[in-house]
Amino acid sequence: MTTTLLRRTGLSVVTMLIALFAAYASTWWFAQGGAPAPPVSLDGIGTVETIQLPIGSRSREEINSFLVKLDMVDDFARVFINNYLVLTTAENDIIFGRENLQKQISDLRVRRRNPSQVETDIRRFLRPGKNFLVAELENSILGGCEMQVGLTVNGKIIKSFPQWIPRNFALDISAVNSDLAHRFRHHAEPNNNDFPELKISDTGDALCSRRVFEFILQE
Amino acid sequence: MGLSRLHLCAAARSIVVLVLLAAFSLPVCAQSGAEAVSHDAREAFSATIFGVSPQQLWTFARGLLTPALGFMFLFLYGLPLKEIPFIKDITDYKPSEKILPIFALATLFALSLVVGTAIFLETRTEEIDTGLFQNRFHVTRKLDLTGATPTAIDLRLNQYDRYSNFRIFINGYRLFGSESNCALAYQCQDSLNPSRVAEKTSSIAELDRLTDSEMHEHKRLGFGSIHYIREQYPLPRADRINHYLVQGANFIDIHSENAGTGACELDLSLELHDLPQVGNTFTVRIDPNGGPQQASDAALGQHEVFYSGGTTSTPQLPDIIAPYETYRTFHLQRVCSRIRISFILSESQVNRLNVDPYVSDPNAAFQRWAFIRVMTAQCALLFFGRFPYCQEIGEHFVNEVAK
Repeated sequence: MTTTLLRRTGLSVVTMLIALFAAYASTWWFAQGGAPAPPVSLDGIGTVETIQLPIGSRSREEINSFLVKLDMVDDFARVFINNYLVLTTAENDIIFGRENLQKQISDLRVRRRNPSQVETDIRRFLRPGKNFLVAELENSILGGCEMQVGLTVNGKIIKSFPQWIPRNFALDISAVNSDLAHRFRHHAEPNNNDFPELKISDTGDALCSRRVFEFILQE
Repeated sequence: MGLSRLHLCAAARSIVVLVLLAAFSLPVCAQSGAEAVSHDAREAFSATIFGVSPQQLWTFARGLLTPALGFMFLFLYGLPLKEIPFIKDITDYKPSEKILPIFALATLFALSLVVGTAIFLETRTEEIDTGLFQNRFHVTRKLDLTGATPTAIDLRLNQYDRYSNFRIFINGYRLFGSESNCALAYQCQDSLNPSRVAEKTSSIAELDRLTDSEMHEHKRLGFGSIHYIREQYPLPRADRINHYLVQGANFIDIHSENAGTGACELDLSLELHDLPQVGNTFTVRIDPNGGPQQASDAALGQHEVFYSGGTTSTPQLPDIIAPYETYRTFHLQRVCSRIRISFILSESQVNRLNVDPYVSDPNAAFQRWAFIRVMTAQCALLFFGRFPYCQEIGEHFVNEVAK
């Protein structure tokens, strides 16, 4: 009786193990849209992370709209998808703040026909397989350095978006040489009280942040 | 003892019923899942296998749990299966002894498969392919400065087409860029057009006529510009990059892309001064045409040309341009070239570069350079280049450092 029970228990355990292995293998090969992995910092390049597309938007044919939106940009922002520039703050026509001189100076602007809108649909640049969306922000040397990036696919806002870039208004150290950034930071004090705007800053005219968002589209 | 025909029929019917139940339960789950999509962001973004989400699998597993437990209980304890649900109406039917192990192990297998798949889907994370990204992002050129003793390193911009976008970063800090430095018609040209200069002068003259109080009002209200509109930047022009460099790894990034006008052309030189050996200038050219394909990672040559139009090594021009994988047929706004020149400097090399005629301490020299850099930029952007005012600030700081 005991032997039979053990034999049957063993058979059950083997059946369970085979089923679990089959589950693991099928998930490995056929699953789509896993959770985002922790971001990876590439020194001197930026931060790379994956984004999770919503169910029903994981192949090129299923995507009816893939909107990228920039908001509150300070100062120079660019968004690339698969090495195409799709959004930029260049040529936004606010080249000088004083109204009576704004038009006069803007008329002298070189018209490069950059994609200078605040929102765009990037569907036509998507491809099957791995896609890379790069959002980078550069400071002018004046003031802070921040922007908001929004991603919306088929009307659904991607998880964790919109995001403020860089985080906590601080320089994304992975986008620059950290030794040079620390050197700037080390010399940030003493502050010059007579001319506070002349403070040395590690954000200065730095590439404040470069965030890379990777996602996979099925054929 | 073989299975009789009646037993086989009963078993088949039971399996069919089970399959039908499963098939019925899935659409129900799918429907409830679809309804949940609008309310439950977690489900909307979960991993799926053949379109089935973990939540649907959990629902299916709950349906399988009771029969699996029942069959397993009977199977493990060797108890007989007296009747099969759903087919009680067949008279004189008695389930075979061999049916129970099949049912028990099959339902156990199905339950384990479903639960396992749900768990693996819930815990699955997408891997980040940093290698592929870096290969597509830029090409790298390594510069070996071992044993070299440069006292100054300049980056010279020789030529620029004026209509493409470009940026030059030293260790992540902008040295020069089309948007910040070459936004206006009178900037970044080989030879200055007299009429453009006249236009520029008349515009900027307005700024120079501002009173001090107006100027402060402008600054306070952010009426300056983030563009260096006062400068003309005639080409070629050189910038010294000594103080941007640190001990250890350094990099110079040259990024260029087509704007909406469809071509890009850039010519730069990296000049190392006071080197004993001949050949201290390295030129980098981004060419709008097609040409031989460059290696993605190699030593920096004396004269490097990066053909943004793709490779011409094959008679039939491929449509995909390596390494960026952009399309030749769609050239607007595509990346032309991203080049990273990387090199390593020793402490003695950095100290040799980090000199200042006014201060001997390398740290003070760096601080002075950093301050003058900020001051120069702020004077140009906010104070409209009022030299006496800016000079006053500069002198103030120089005196502070001297103390």
